[in-house]
Amino acid sequence: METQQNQAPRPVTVEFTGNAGEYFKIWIVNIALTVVTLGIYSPWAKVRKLRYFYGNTSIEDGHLDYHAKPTAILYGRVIAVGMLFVYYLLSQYAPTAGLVLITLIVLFIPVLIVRAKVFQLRNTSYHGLRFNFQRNYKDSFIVFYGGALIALFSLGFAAPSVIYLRNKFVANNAGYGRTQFQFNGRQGPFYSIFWSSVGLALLGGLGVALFVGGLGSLFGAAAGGSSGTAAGLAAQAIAIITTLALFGFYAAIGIYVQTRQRNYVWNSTVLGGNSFESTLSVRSMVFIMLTNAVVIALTLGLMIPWAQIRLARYRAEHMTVHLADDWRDYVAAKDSQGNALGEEIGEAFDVEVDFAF
Amino acid sequence: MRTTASYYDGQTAGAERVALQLIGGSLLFELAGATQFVELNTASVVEPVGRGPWVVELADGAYLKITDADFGEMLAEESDSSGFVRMLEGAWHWALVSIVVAVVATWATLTYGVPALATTVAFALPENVSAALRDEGMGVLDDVFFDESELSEESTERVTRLFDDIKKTNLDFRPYRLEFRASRIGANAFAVPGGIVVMTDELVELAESDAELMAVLAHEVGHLHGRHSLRILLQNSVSALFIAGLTGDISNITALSAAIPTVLMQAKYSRDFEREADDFAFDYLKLRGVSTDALSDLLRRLDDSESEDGSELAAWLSSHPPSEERKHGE
Repeated sequence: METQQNQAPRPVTVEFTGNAGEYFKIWIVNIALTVVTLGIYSPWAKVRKLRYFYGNTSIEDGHLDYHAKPTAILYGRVIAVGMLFVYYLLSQYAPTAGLVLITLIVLFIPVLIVRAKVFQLRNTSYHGLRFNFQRNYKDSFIVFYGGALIALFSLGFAAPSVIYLRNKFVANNAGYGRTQFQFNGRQGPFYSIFWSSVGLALLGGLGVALFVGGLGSLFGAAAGGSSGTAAGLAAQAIAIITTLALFGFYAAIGIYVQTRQRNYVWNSTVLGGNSFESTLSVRSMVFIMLTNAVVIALTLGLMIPWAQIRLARYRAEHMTVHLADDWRDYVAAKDSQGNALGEEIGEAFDVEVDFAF
Repeated sequence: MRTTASYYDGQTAGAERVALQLIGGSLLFELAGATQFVELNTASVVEPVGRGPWVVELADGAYLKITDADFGEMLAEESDSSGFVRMLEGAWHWALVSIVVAVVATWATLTYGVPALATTVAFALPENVSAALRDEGMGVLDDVFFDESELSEESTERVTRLFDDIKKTNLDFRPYRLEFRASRIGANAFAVPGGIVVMTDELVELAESDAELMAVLAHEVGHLHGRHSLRILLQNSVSALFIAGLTGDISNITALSAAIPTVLMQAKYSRDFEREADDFAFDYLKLRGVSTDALSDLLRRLDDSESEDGSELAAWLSSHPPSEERKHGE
């Protein structure tokens, strides 16, 4: 594609039109059919879910679409579950062979990551043109194992460099048609996010300790002289409150890191003459994620669809694309479809696939 | 029947608006001045999700998006799409039915299906796990929990005699072995996969009669005989996979809510196996004409001997049934 900077970029906000009621029906039918078919329906469920979310996401007059064939995902899942089963059997009867198997799988994680990205992006289109991911196995091995070594030898202090390298790897190997995304970010901001999260964690830990100490003496004074059970109950209440407060607080720090990294990665990425602007606010994200978790727990999961739609809408509303190019200039890469193997084996073995996008 | 559709060639971004006709199982449309003729059986018709469009994927990677619902219904009739899922997704009463079906089927799968599957698989496999694994398991326990036993020869012989008597009741029990250890975690007994029962010095001392020792030994033999270690491994992994499959698409933070049912389910499985081992012990005690109270007597004393951290809440998550409940085999 020839990048033509012939127009001034115009900002376009991503629009999300999904609604919770409509998605609830799709979601609950997905679950019922998945359970009744003992999981065999799950690839169809996944495809319907993604088709709903992608189909309801648009930029100007173009929509995202998801094209994966459920049978391709099923094939990958059968292999993944089969390997898991073999692993369990081996670990019971031939532990050494089980260890060899799990080592082999771990060795091939960089391959699985690439395959998963290829499958995910080649099955996603915007305006009818598919995204793409380079089969760059060499860099995947370098980033994954090199990164692990850097993190190890720096005792974790160079972790932001590793996150930087991973995001750069994913963005630079992604493409829209045959046009590559380009990541222009630096390492510095990843370090500033890292150190501010460490600072927050320390401050928060101190705060929680003081809070609990205060509660403890309060309850202790209240229970003073009364029976042992009252004191026991108070201790238990304090333990529960502390656990929840600590969990909420560290979840919030996780959200802080994710949100700021996501903003930075998108804001430093370009596609041809187009750039992106992600303006997620940490405060809103923390509020949405934590209230989502509470509402889901209180409704025994029934509000999961509402929570997902709410998050997707907030993310879309805070993503702007600065369009400079004519979409007509974007054309397809030469080969198009990958199979589902990488992605689904990755899922079954808990490989972290979703770096940034 | 005719409508207007968007045509995507799969090669460039952007759509072409085309006038589309459906005539006798074939689609007709004009593209760049030429009439395109597509037999539906060479294409695949993809049903809409929600208010989304109908999609017809053509053999060459191009596709048509159709927003006209009536035209979509005609397409569905001409192609082999059943419309079953679309019907379910389209109405609130089906959503309610789906909730009931999902809850009942999940409950039935986790309570009956998974344990039945694990039992079938566990008993289809050879009983003896490799000696290497058994020794490895013992080695880990020795490192973490145990020291050398300091019991007198007299008491080990007494307990071993009781153990040998249990072994006599079934030829399958011949390979089982009894070991004694001093415990760093208080009085307890263990069944180690591969056929070892471990008695801790503390439990032997806590027992006030042979009947109580018989009860606890038989309980552990019940674990071995029922292949509980393999079954619980299978049940935990299959149920975790199942629950993850249902909730796996929720985001990181809320994924915690998926961990809760998994943990509760695994605690329930563990309690079920304890009850099964209790029943085994009760049967043995009855066979020998000993009161089945022996087991609960010992367990109650075990509860008392432990520190007082056992609270009402913890019982909910407990891996063992409450002692008061473990009285009789009836």
